[in-house]
Amino acid sequence: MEDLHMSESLPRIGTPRWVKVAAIIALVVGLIFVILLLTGGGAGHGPSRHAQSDAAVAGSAPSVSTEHLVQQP
Amino acid sequence: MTMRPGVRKFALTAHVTFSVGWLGAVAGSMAIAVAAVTSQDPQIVRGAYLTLELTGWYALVPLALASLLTGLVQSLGTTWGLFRHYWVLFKLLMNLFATIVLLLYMQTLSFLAELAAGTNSSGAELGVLTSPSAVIHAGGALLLLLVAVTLSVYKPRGVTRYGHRKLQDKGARSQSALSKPSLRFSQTLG
Repeated sequence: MEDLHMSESLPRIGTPRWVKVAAIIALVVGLIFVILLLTGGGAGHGPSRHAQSDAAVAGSAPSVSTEHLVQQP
Repeated sequence: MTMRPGVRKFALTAHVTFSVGWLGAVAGSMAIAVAAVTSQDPQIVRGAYLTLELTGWYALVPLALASLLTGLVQSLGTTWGLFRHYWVLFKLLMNLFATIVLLLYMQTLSFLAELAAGTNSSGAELGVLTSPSAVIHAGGALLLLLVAVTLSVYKPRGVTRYGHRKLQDKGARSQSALSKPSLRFSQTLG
């Protein structure tokens, strides 16, 4: 009887559904991030970006969409 | 070690303040980042990145670290524990992830702010500033922190294996503590 009472008061063991769903979402987001990094879809994105920026900026031409930012003399 | 009720209340207030403050600072950063990406005015773009860097170093980073620290104190000093409940574990992982990404992104943001501050920057250099990176980072942080707030309020059920073991130990201890006086009582009677 005591054992039965104890098992009733303790939460059920096992992974709840919301944990499984959240883990799957985290996995999918992580995979998308890795794929983007590997395929270059996230080019210019990431912590290493600032280290490469000097070289990248020096070699790149101004894009049409950013021409409005060119300082006028 | 469980905190006394007064200390626990104070620690909870501090944790909620820092965490919600972090959320608010991210929302403000999001607005500035959107202005930086969408504005046609170079002065606004430059000003936005300078403001973002200051907000980052003097609001986002301190609030993130304070939220992490007070969260650790709050979980370790109460019966919730750090690894016993899934929602607490999720919040810890999300907080750690967001803080690490923030600290890494602050290096990029400092570089961009330096670029924005340069008066002799070329068009190509300033073109880098229109990248949506700041909006993406702020949006991700906003989403993560909203999930964390939701978890804190709803506290969804679910105990880890470690938490289950701890609860069983606690149950066994309280059972033996209850049985001891009756044993002594029966011995006295006998």
